[in-house]
Amino acid sequence: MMSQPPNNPIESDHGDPSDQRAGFTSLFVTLALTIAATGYFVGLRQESNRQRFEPTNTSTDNATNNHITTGLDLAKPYHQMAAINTGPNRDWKNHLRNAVPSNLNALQSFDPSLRKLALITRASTRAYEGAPPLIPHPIDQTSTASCVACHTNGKSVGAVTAPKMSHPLYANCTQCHVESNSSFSPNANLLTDNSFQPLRSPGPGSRAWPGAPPTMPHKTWMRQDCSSCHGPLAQKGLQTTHPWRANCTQCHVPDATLEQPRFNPTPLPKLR
Amino acid sequence: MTLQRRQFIKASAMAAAGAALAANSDTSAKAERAVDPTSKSPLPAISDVKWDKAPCRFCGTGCHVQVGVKDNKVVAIAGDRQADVNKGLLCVKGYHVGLALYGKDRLTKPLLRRNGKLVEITWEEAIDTVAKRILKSPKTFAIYGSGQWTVPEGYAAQKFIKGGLANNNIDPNARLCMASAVTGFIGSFGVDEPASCYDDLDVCDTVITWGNNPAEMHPILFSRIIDRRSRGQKVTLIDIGTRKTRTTQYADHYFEMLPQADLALTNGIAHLLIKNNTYDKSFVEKYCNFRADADESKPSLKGASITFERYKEKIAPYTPEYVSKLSGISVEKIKFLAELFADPKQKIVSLWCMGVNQHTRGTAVNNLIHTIHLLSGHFGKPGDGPQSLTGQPAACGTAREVGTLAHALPGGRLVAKPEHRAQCEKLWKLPAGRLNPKPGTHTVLMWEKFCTPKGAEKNVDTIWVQVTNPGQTLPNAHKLFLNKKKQNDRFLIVSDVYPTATTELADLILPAAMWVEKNGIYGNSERRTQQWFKMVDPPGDARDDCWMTIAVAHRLHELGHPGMKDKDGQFIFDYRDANNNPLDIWKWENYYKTNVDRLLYEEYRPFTHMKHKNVAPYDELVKARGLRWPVVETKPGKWTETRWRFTEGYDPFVQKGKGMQFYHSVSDDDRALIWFRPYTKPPEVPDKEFPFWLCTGRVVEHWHTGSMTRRIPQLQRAMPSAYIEIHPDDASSLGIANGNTVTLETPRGKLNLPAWVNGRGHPPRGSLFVPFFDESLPINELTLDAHCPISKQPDYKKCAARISLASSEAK
Repeated sequence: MMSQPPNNPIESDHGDPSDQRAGFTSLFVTLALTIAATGYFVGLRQESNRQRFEPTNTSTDNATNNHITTGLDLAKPYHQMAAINTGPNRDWKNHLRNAVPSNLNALQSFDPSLRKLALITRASTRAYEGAPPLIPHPIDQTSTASCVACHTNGKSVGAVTAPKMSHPLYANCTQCHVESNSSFSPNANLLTDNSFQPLRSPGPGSRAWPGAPPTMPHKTWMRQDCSSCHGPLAQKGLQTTHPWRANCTQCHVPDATLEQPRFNPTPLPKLR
Repeated sequence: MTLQRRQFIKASAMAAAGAALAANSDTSAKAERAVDPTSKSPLPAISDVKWDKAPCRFCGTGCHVQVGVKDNKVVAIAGDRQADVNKGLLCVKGYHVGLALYGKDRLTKPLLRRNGKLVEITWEEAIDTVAKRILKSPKTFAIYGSGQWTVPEGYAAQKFIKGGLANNNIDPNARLCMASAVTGFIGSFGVDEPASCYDDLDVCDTVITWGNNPAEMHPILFSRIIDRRSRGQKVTLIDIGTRKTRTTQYADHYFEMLPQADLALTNGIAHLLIKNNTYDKSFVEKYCNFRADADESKPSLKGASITFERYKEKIAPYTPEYVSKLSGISVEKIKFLAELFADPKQKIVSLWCMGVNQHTRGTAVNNLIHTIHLLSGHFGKPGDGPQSLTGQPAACGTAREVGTLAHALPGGRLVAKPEHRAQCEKLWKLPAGRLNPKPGTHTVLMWEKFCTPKGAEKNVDTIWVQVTNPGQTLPNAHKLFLNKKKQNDRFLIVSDVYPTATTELADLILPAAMWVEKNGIYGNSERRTQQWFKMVDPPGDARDDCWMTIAVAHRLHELGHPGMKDKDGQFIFDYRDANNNPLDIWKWENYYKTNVDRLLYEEYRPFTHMKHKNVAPYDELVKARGLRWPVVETKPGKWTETRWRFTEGYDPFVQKGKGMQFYHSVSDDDRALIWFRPYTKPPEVPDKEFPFWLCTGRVVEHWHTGSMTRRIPQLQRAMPSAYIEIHPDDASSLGIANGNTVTLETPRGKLNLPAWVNGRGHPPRGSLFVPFFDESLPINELTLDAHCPISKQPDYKKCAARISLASSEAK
């Protein structure tokens, strides 16, 4: 069903002469650990390059069958969208458990330099935190079937990873995702600079004490499948350190202030 | 071993990141700063961001976005999950709409051209310059606006020029966009705008796209249809067009037709419905009349009544064989379409936009699409009916409803009708007889006059352009725009946010606030009125278009123009607070001390009642993600919108027991009109010298002339320049390879463009396509200014052209 990533967990970084980290203060270590822990579940690299599904253009019946057999998470009717539960790991359709390679039985460790790299890479493919990621490769201009081939479940070939979609199957991939550089004229220069100052990082989730599970630092809309960004195919710095735990929201809660609609907190009763 | 593997993983990750960074070096520099905890100036984090609703700035779909603001800047965008239209989804333009504000070359100062050079002037000088220019010759002044005007902006311009100057020279760019849809609705139903709504897309069985590519131009609506399939629902998509597009890849049926053959095909379907006796007899008998032009060589908006027998005679020649000959569509496929419409159990939605509207018989094709829906009874039920789409966010809300057209007055009124003028004079508190009964100049005529040497007495010599870019969008631009260069006595005033093809020839440039830099109200394609509040300040000295209009009006008032006074001698934009103190909104420092949008909109609202287009009160709009008119108060304080107009049970104005009531019927009997409109030849047909068809249009990444989207790095990189689509066989026979520069020529102009073979769209042999977003490759210097005799909308979709490998490519 899916190809295996180069799947040995990254080992701890002892003895790595990485100059990037040399000389960082303990403050940074603390920060890094915070970000690290955040990332193992939630992280920031969400929708990178995921695509959508194209129903066949000849027979809708076939399309139906395809969906059923692949067990994919399907787009919801518009009139139901406001009401549906879109949270992560909300039901049996989450595939994190199935996606875990069977030989993962040791706690994965975390490498802050890879985390940083993952976040930079992630930020460089989108205009702001929450924007649909750009497509880092040439595309077939008129075939979304070609998107779905790799991004339905994610795929890894050598060093190249096609991330799994983090959201349900919407049919028209290129509605939201465009090439980061036109494959038709890849060397075109920008006409003007743009001084947009993007919202970049929602920042680490909050933790009750060091070692407590962090809350999710980002919204969950369009990020219903945690494994897309934190599963075994995700970028190394964002992978969960404990992939055998499939029920993410058991420990990590979303932050209601980041979701829509935004509710105003109601007061607690007072002692009278 | 372990080390090697780890290094390999890191190296490959670095390589991947490196590639991404190289591609987007500026973005990644920002990105690095953002995620590097040692960075001195971290970018905004989510906890500090304030969010508020706004309709998207771009197309007429009318999606709502949530705008994230921090420190007086837009920092993020999210789809609004409470919005009925889009339910939290957006398209790539919508996701990047916030970046449209931050192109480095925003206009921030009023600029006056002196001796050929633009020099900075103050706002006082700028307003004074405009006012004095108008005062010199009020009758030869014109306003050219757009379907991107907010409702209050359009309303203020309308009141200023028609009510104040008694001059009807005001027209919107919407004339180039949906004028034929307007005349289509008026001709068939007696009143403008669709009876149906987007809810149809959730329940219909079949969607027909008529020369329409919603996968790129209205992606949210397209996904709303296509995503149903991934839930196991069956929805059949029939794409009728002159070129394969991204929409075609989802179609169950693609019927490729020759340009102009929509006239034949619709008549062919009607012919078979009558011949096979499969039309909806009860619907037609109860709710329809028949119509045709008395003299078919002189098409008119309202025609003359004909009998059913006469209609049958007229439609008789449109046999499948004849229609097949005209359209290139096979007899079987024509029969298939007729059978589809004959099936009462099918729920059919027709979608169309520019393919039908930008047409020298645009009104006719609009009437004919309504005709086949009426004749077959596929009308007025959920999931069953025609839905015309618009390209601009307030083409409906402002251009059509406020009536910023040369012949119209607010609320569906006409300048030519004495009772309509009298109503407006009363609502505007003007002296009786103030309004001018003669329609002003429509778009093509306005620009033709402006660019023609003096002599014609009624020339237009000053145009004030607001919120649009005619330098790039007018057809046959040499004749209708660039010739301005030769007329020294002409004065072009342009309010805009960026330098454009239009500011290039401007004599005075006024820097404008855009989108969430100001309060606003839009109206989308399904009659939905949408409101938002100002969230950030405009850059530099940029100000609201609406303020500019009011400030100029006030300056004219000071200079003694009598039209700037109402019948009581008050300034026409004199507004008071609750204690009757003047608000003096023409002073910029006062403009945001009060909500001017609310004042103007509430003044405008009573105008909408005559045609039963009752828009919701401002305060209701504030609470909603748009409301579809007519909006009526069903219980005290409870306002209810309307989904299906003219249908009992949905439309509050339909009388009980009527079932379906076209209460603004042309024939004054509550019936809609089934039109006969004949096939006529296109205005220009390929010949030996110009053997190709040339069509123009849009792409998903860019919106209209690209003045906003071409300044958004993510969109501009994805689609950096215009191109020409050619069929592979044509390309090979002309020795053209992918990427080669091709010289494209029409009788009106010449342009070099890169060829894209097997690219985004796939034209048939003998056919070419060029998008119009690219200012440096101005395709509209080549297009035709022939236009529909009724709607005056030009045809950008078909003219004759030739191509050759550019001389620079010669080996």
